[in-house]
Amino acid sequence: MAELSPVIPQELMTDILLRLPVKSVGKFRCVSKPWRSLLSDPLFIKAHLNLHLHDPQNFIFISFKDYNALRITNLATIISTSSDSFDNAGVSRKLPLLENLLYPKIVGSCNGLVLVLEERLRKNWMVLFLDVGLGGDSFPDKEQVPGPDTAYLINPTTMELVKLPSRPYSWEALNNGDGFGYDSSNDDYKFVTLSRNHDPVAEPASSSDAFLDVFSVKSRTWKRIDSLPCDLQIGPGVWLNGAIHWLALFDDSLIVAFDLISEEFKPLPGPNTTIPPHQGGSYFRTRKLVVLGGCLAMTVVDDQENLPRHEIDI
Amino acid sequence: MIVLNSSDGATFEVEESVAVQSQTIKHMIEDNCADTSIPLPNVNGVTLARVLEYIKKHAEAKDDEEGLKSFDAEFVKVDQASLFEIILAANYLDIKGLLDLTCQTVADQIKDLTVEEVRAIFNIMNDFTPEEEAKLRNDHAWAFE
Repeated sequence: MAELSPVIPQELMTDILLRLPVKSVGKFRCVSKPWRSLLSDPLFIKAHLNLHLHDPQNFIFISFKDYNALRITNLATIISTSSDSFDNAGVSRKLPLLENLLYPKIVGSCNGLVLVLEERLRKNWMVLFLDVGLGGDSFPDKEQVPGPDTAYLINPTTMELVKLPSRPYSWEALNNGDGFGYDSSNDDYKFVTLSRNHDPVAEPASSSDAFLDVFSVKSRTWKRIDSLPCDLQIGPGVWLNGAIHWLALFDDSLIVAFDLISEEFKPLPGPNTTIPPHQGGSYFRTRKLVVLGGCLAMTVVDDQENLPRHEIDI
Repeated sequence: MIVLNSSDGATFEVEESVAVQSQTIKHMIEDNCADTSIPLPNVNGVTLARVLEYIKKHAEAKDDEEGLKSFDAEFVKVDQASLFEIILAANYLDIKGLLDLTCQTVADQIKDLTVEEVRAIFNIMNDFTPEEEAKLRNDHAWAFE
């Protein structure tokens, strides 16, 4: 009975509340005004994140409407407390705003936030091409307005969504490798885009053709870094341990990490691998960086053999 | 051996090596305040007995992880008032393991309760107007699913 229990002082109450799962924190903001203040305080939220960052796996699950992944229909957080069961503590939401995005690309996720890019500009030429080929009525929205790519930072648990200013886009840049991560020293989230001005296959590759754009959510500004240490494989950047990682182009033994705090590039030795080097010519080899169990891993898929092979690094 | 006096006059004897799991007691011993006995005016006899049971078990079965886990699970199966008393004692005596255990227990017990039930447990008054509360619940609809 409540009357017999001693009163728990504020600091102990905070200790208890920090241990609550996210859903309960949101729910208990409705208990009273003091609780609402405490549970909404950025310091509390930061402490809560740090406490739960390494809890048994929390997943963000995204479902797409159709095969071509043109629309996102559902964004859900699922919390698993063991390897084969899921807790009801997760949140599943349809996100109407996301459903209206054309060609959404999930750049990455970090600390429970997801960065989604709407790639209008880059996809416009593709739409035109298919338009001609298929008679022009296979895409639902004919009136895509060409415009710069727009990025959205989303918290799938609370459904909060922030639109970020678009990056300085170069018409020559053919493709991009995007990454998203957290700068712990400045308490800032950063969105980076690796771009190249020339097609490396058609012309001799040169590291001066590639550049990195860095966006700081805190200062809401873009910054360009022109000098890269070597030629990088343009593809998604993988965030781990405070840096975003890319593979070096044509060089299996090198991984390059972009440190989000110092905003500098650092080379990392690639994995010791028993995979034979690419023979050249008849088949495609695709190498990709992923995060597996808290470590950086590289997958290698050779078209001809159709066998993915994995190496673990770091 | 160290002698501890509770707020209501009960006396307990415990080995120094066990007692120093309490940082508070440890500092009192180091500062030479522990000549005859240590007064603990913030902890009553019943609660102190329970706390001593905890630190004795954790001293003697230090390496038995499984055993301690099941001991801890049984240990917190007490009524709410007693649990809160143990939290306050663990805080005053600065026993980290016991404080973590009891705070986590309370968190686990309340996490699925309704807002009204939580107000009842902690004797909290609802100071929202009905409109304010309705809006807040609406803004946090994701938390009530």
